[in-house]
Amino acid sequence: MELDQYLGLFIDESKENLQKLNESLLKLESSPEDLEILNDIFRVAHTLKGMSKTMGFNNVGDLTHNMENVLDPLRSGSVKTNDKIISVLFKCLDKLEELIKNIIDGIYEDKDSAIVDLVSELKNSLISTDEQSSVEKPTKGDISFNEYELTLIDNAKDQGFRAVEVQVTLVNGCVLPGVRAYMVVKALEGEGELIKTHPTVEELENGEFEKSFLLYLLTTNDNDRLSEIIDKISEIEKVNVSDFDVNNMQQESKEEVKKEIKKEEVKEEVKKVLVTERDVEERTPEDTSTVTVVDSVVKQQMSVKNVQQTIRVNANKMDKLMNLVGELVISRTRIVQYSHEVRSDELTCLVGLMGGITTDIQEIVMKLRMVPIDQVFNRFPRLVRDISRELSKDINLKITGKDTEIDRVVVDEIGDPLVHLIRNSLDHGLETPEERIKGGKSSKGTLELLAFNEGDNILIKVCDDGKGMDPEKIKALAVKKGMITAEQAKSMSDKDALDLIFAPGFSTAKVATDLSGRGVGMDVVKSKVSSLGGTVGILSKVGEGTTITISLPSNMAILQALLIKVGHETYATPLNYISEVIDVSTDQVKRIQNKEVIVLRGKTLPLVRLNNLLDVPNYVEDAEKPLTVVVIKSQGKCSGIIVSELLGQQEVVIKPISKSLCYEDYISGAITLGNGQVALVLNVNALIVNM
Amino acid sequence: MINEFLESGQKEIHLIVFKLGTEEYAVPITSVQEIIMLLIPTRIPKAPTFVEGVINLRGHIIPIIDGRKKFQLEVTASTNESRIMIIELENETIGLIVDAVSEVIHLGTEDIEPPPIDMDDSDFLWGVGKFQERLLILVDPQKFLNFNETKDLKSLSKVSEILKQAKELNQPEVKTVK
Repeated sequence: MELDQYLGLFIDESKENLQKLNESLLKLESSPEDLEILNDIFRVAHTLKGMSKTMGFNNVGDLTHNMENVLDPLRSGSVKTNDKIISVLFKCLDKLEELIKNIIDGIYEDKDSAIVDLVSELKNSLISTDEQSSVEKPTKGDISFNEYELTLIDNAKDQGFRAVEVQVTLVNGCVLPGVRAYMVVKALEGEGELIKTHPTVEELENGEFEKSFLLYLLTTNDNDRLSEIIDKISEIEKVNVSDFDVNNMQQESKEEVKKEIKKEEVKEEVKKVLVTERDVEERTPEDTSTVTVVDSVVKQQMSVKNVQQTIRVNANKMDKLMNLVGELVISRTRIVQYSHEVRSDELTCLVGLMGGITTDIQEIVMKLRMVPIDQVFNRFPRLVRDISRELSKDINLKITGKDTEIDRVVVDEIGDPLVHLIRNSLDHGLETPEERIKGGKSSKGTLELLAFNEGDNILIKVCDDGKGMDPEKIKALAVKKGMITAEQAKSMSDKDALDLIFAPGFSTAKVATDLSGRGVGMDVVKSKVSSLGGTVGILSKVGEGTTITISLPSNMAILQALLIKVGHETYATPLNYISEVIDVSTDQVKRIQNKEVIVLRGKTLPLVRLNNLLDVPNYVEDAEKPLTVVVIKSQGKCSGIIVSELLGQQEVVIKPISKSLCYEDYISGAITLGNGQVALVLNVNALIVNM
Repeated sequence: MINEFLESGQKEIHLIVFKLGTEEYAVPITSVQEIIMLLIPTRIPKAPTFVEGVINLRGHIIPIIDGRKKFQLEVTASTNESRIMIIELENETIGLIVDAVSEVIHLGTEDIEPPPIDMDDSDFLWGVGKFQERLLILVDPQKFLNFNETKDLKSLSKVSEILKQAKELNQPEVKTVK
């Protein structure tokens, strides 16, 4: 079988499964007894095992197989989940991630000594817990009856049989547990119909069980007689025969069967739930147990309903589609221009119709590019957990707005800067529990991660309620480092002082310790964000915490741009950076410190001559004509760029151009114009910074 | 590149021959996506002199390098023969303006002379090919088409030296054939 074609699918699904595993493990840590979570983890491990064995990645298969071995007793309840097991499981997860990454990079090797270590660690984790909890009884947790067994029980009841549960415990040090169990089974078979055993009969006969096991029997004999029979067998420590009510088990078994329930049955169940809901309303509010059961069932139904159909699409194909739609949009613009020239009613009408359709297509395609920001956020709970443990800080991570959609390109790029910010907050912003109590705060620190839409932008905030940053300290350091003079520091506002941490060269390891660490690589964060066309802002109050806000354009591909001409060259400026366009007569231009400025509504506005900055050839300026100034704004700063001519506003598809060609960062990409020519897109942030 | 080629065990290599100034160069045909007529590129501010700008090739933005400028030859006006070779590199696609694209040839392994003086790894020349008494400079496009100027001078002087040597070697041979 040719497996290569399935590799992409395998990788995608493995990534998904590992993510699920990560989430479940984190949940398990907070509620180690939750059977549902354990089952989830088991399922994921099982799926991974199956897939990887099929694909021939035996390493992954072995590791997951051993994880299953550890998880199985946890599920059955014979071993209690403890920190040690969870941390080993986390290690396995890390290893699995590494293995999958290796598979992606094509450097997969089937021999890995680390796995052998991990496997033995997995085994050890169980042994040590065995000692602690070997007396544990098998819980009824995962004993479930399938529909056949249930009907069997029902029918038997009608015929006067009783369902009994027999719990048998063997004496300590029983030599042949399998044989004893076999004898018990044989003995009971004579007394009625054995419908189920836990563990299975085969496992019982092989002695694969802890000291005790459960048997379910349909019988007409009474309980005492049954215990008598079993007691006759030697090496039995205890027999416990009790009546067994199927209805109690029904709920659990339903869940198990749930996967196989056909749609009709789901509907039926919904009806049932609705009925019970009505019942609940009639009952007294104290009857909370039923309410919670109903709640959980309702939730289950909801989740069944909410499953949306999705298909996997190759990312390259998507990119091609984007590209083609971009071309389509450009062609449309050309046709519209042409139809204006031709002045034919019929053509204008048709073009209008086509325009509507292309706009729709464009919208849909742009939405396809969008993915929930959860894809970035989902790795943070683990990160925060690990770091806060390492630093022995008590931190509560709150994530809001993880459904906010961002461009796929952003997902790949924004992760690292966010990790950086979160690390900073955890490491230097948030205090240890003792410090926090001293400062009159709750011992648990809060780190909040927010994402939401604001206009055409998406804002991502990283907030902590830590100790905040002191503008005076930052100023002092900047002076010490020679970045600003003492005079400048005096007149500098607190806000500007905080912005200093984004300046390149501000952050060094030494500064990090002096200044409670903020500013480590903040310039890197800033440059990454501005390369995505976004901005970073900071708010901080000493003693109250710090908030860092990243603002990104929600759509990276198509944007509104103003086309301008400088000399004979055409450039595009993203419209969201332009605040206004004004005409200024040449005598209004003044000079301050040898730089050209104009006064606009009482504020000085520095001017940039694009022709000089971009070395535009054959540039002739008409001294008589007023200057056309495009006022651009970014990160609270404004400047005016002098252009020769405005060509108008247009929807453009920005295409990347080789980074090594964007000298001094003035250019952020290229677009194709209606006439097929290429125009370059100005990087507004770079133009402003170079004031 | 020469090593890869020799290791692959191929008996001959398929090349596209192009002219720049007086010399003839050749690149493997597998690296050439297409050859197009000259287009007027859009200038990129502050780019190195040999970067002519970018063009729009069916929706793709492709940087264009002037071969004459890159090889530091005398710059002349383009002719009817001038073409842009669209060359696919590992991570990007680049257009190279050449004086003419002459032909597609098969060159046997025995007709390829590895570079006589030790070249370091970043040098774009990987051999000199002999084809019908002509000498072809075999160029590795991956190493040649980059945007940094500094290395070129050194490489170029090496190339001219190699070519001179190759010609000297080739001369008597040509005579004997005649």
